[in-house]
Amino acid sequence: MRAPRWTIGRREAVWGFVFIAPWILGFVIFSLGPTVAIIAWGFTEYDILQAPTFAGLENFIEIFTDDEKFLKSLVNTAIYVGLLVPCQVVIGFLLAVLVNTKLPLASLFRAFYFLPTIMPLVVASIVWAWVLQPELGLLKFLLEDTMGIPTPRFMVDEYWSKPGIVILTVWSSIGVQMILFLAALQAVPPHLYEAAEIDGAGPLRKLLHVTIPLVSPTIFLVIIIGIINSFQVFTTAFVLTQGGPLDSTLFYVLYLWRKAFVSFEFGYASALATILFFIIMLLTALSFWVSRRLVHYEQPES
Amino acid sequence: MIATILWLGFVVFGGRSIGDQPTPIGMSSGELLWTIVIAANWILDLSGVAWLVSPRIPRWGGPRLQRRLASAIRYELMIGISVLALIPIFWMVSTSLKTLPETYEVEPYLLLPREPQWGNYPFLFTFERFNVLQLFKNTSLMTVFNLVANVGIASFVGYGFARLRFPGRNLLFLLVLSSLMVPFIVRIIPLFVLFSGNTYILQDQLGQVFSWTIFFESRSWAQNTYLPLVVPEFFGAAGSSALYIFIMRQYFLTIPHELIEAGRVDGASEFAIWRRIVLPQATPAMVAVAILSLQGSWGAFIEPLIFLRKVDLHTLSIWLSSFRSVQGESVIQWQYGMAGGVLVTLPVFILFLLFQRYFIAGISLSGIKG
Repeated sequence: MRAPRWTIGRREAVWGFVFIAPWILGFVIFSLGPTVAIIAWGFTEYDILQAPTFAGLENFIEIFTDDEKFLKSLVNTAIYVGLLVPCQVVIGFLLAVLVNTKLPLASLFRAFYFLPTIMPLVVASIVWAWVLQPELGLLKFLLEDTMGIPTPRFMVDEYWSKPGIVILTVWSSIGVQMILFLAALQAVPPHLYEAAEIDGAGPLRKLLHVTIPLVSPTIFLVIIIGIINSFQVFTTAFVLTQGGPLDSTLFYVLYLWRKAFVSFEFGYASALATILFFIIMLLTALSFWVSRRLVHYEQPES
Repeated sequence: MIATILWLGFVVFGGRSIGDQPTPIGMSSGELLWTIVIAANWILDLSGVAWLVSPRIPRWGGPRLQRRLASAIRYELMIGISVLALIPIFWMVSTSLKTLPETYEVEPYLLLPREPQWGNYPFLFTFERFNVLQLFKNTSLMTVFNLVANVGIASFVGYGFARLRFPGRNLLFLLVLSSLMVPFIVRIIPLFVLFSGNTYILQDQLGQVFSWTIFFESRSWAQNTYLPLVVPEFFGAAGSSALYIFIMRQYFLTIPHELIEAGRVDGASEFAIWRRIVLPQATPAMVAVAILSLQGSWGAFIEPLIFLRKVDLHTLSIWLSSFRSVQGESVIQWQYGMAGGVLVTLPVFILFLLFQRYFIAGISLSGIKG
């Protein structure tokens, strides 16, 4: 046998694999393996005390035909995502436009808007649980007791519990969206605005025809991240409402968590997790497909 | 917006009753006055923005006045939104200094404690159920481990993806990014099974998870350890590891080619190049990763919640969430919850003030909070 020839290219390739080896190992053990396991366990009955027993499609049939909470949690989550993600995009964008200025002190305000994002989510959740508290909360005092504006009972009213969590989440995440949009706004080449001005465009025209097309990749990014993250909402609902009132904040992962770690139906939970996985993949794929028509990617100038 | 703030200040300093005469619509005259002022202020703001933005409305006053007006409105909105952003934080600090009866007082409503109860903070460390000092130790230890793991592994793997050519590199990198799409619960369930040995775990405990007083002793080897919280990070396979790898890779791409080539010409191994040439150049990215990782582990909630089922192994975030437990005491001790919140937030706030630049750079590079 001939010894392999160690060309420079091959040496580099070997080193390349050495460098990414830890990740490959981790990916197989902690990402790929679990995904395969979850999909497999979805077809079993598994209470973790005994080995899983094959159950065929039983879990899935039960989920789709005989599980009101599954449907409820899915609908809850969809409503929540539908409320939250547009808020994040619009408010994040407007905030970025607002602080995208060289006026003195603007960076101070940026830091202020970013502070809630720094706060651990659990802390933000209990703070808002207190602010939104139905009898003693600050919000009720500020709106209702002093101004006479009737305030919804956010944490106890079935219809206002989701908006309550959306408010908290917007407050605690908007810094991220602001930073992303700010970076995108600052990357818009000024000559495009000058050209638009020469063509007689006012501020609104410039916004619609220059700014928004150029930041559309960021809009897309914020939407995708928003969907993936908010579909997995857990901490806020767990701390604020624990799924209540009347299961109105029983979100998908909260329900899944209960199935897995409260009642230990691991097979059933795995089936739910498989469905979640495919929903998220589907939504991501859908966003990519839609974005191909709507997102404008600036060609780099040579 | 300014009017809103003025009104808030007004409320804080106890001047609510400038007019107590009843009005036909059910508010007192003072309330009505404030409502009108605030509404007028908002209408002015919004119409000012509309005027500046819309080309249809005729201009007057010349460009200088317009610029002045534009920055005035901008400042006004920025100040107003800061108040919105900061009010909950103010409320947290204010409540943390109250006594228990004060938190339940409605008439008059106390925005500030009568006398700041600084004793609330030391009191946190005397709880029987939770040894808070221990919790601080647990959380910091986990945070430090994860920080070392994330910075180390992300810079190592990131270099491989950035500067070494090997077959399948782009495909594998796509795989790195796509692992961001895997829901955390999909990773956690098998991890739980993996680290629970087999078995006894959870007998007799069904339904007890919400009540924080009963936690069980485990008999299996890896149950109730920090292993499942730390080990995946050392393999770049935790929830946000892909982001850190991405951040490092993007940064390594900007390091001049000549530096690396020079190392190769000198006959240094790739490992030596990484260690001696590339890493020293990459401090900003490493700081960004370190900070994001630190912030992420410090506030991590769901993983500790699932894996650490013994009270002396808990982290700060689990302790905090117990202040909201519905089935615990009937009286929620908000002042201690808020004081705990301040204690847990303070380290990350200080860090933010010190390293604001890196924080922001990390986030705009990665797109997601850690």
